[in-house]
Amino acid sequence: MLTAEQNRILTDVSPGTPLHNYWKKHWIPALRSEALRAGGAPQKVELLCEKYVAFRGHDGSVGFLLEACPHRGVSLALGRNENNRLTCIFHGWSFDAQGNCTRMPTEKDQSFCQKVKGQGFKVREGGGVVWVFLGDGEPPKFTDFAFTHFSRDHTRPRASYNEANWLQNVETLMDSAHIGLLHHDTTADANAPQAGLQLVTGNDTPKYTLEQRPYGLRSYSLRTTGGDKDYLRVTEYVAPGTAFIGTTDAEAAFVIIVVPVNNTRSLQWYIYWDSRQLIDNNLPDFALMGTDESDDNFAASRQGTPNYGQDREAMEAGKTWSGVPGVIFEDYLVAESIPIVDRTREFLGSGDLAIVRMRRELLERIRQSEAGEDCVKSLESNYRALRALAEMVPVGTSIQEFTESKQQERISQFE
Amino acid sequence: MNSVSKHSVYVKSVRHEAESILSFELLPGPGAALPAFTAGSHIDLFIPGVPTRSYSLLNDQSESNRYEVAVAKDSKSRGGSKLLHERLRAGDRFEVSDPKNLFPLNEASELSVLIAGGIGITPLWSMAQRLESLQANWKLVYFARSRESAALLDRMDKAFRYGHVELHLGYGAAETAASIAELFSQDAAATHYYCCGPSGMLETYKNAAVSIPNDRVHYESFVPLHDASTEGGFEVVLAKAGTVVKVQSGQSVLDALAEVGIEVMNSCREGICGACEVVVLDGTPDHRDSILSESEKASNKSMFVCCSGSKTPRLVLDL
Repeated sequence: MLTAEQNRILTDVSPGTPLHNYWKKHWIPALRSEALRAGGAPQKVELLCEKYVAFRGHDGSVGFLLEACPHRGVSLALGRNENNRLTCIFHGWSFDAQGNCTRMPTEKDQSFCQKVKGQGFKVREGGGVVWVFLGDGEPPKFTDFAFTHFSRDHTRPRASYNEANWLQNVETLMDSAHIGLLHHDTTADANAPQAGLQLVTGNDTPKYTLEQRPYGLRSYSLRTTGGDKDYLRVTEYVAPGTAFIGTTDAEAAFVIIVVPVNNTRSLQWYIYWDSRQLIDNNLPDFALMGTDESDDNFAASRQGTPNYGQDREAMEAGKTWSGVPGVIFEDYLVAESIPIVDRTREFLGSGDLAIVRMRRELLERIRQSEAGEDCVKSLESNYRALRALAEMVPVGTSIQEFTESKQQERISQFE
Repeated sequence: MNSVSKHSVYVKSVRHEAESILSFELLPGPGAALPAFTAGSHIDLFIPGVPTRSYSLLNDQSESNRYEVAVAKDSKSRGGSKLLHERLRAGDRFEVSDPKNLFPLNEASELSVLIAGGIGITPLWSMAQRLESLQANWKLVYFARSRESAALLDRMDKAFRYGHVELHLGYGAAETAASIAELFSQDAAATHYYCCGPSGMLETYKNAAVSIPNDRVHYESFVPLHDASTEGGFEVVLAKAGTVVKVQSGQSVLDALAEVGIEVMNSCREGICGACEVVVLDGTPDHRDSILSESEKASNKSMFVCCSGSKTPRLVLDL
């Protein structure tokens, strides 16, 4: 679909590129709040081809700085975390949570510190996640999704990495058509209580409707079942890398956020939440399937295993479609099989409508970003109200009206 | 840009097959040769002044250098069949595409049940002839409004050794459905089914076949709901570039733009993937895509340039 130039615009996040600058205009989930203990070890975080370090002072506040000490480049991840400062072990230069240098033992004149200001980035915590703003100037309105308002017991953020370019990871989130195929093992399993997904079985040609929104797109996919009800899935896409994935009322909700680490590596967040009960009591089956215990990189032990250990014997014996356990690794397996997808060589069909629309949306937003126009539209976006659906609807219902009223219902019942 | 193989043909004869159905026998033009085809194939006809349309080859695939197609004059025709009936005469020369087969026969099956409705008989007749020559069992069930409207009956009036024809004339929807259901009720494991006919009949067929494994149930949709518009004959004004591009007959807007170096994102070239959407500033598009809702089409705010054309002499696009 795209020219080589357009594909580059959407995939190359190297410093200085339009995509890199566009991403930096948004709040980005960098690491879990729990990964930072007050006064504990700083954590390295690589985002958008740049290296950062995060630390939490004894007063609880989080600093997010460039990893390289501004003096002579030594890693501040080696630094001492004390007195709400991160102190470089090389020459003892100290930085507060805003990245201001407050002490330089190697200089007689401490006013020299004033010159080394603001190496830090704006930070907000919400929903168990440390969000950062890596751009210039004032950040946009914070992406206060519903789960950022709940207490820790009600949200469970999990992060991992995969070795694929960010865009193809996001495309998988918008792709309703693959659910009953790649994830056949899950959808065809009538015993799994993932009630939403089972309804996809045997129906791989949803009808898409896409609506533009200030935050991105709302994607409806409708599947006829031959009965008097259709199966509707609604995905809320928040540009650039966030998708709320449809669930039924009974299930916990979840959102997936993809952040580029570099051009062939992505940080992938799976954030589950349920305002009605402890989230750990209502995690979806797939959430922990095949994953490590660590919520900071739940794919660590599988990384490096060829093809995520795809079991060809079991495939031949007809026991599995994909050969890997669970929807997450199925998605990772296909995403990683090509480091950066070449979108100049594709054959798209009706199942790709949402992806096509998303690419167009991103190209337009990046154009706006380059032209200095508002490409985030945070003020017009009601982040808190976003809910994704998986519901049976009577045939002939207006999907827009149904979605609006169902979202309102969930908001009022669950908050 | 697509480069399409074209073969020169001339009309050897035009035959009256039935009320509103003419068949055209095509032989190669001087020095030309026609590629071989397999039963179920169709060809595109490239006739100046006539929209490009596809027609199934109804003759026996063993005939080399001879193509036979039949055209039903559709009262709702957007131009193709009507013009062919009114204008195409013996001796006329034009070009056709390579045969393409999206409806192939499984030659290994023990029994082939061929279900035809109206002009849908054409690919199935080619199949019946092939099966007969393979000495493979076949049954052709042919639904038509009346004897007068049923094509190729004279060719069917023979004693075949490996199959037979059942003619069902004047059946209503319910009788047709019952008849098709009856065919499936006698299903044996190695039988393959083929259906070609009007969309209502195809729906009935697909519903009746729901318990038969997909790989034994075949059909071809004969009246494309969304034929690409390649009538041409209008111009496209590019508002941003400030240029005017003429769209010729046989070209899509996408083709015409590409010819003058204007690349529009595209992929499927069929109006299903959405990649080539362009905002329309003026003029009335002739929507042929499968994406826009009726009200979106009526608003004419955008169009898909790989397949949609124009109802007005001029379209102004936001390019």
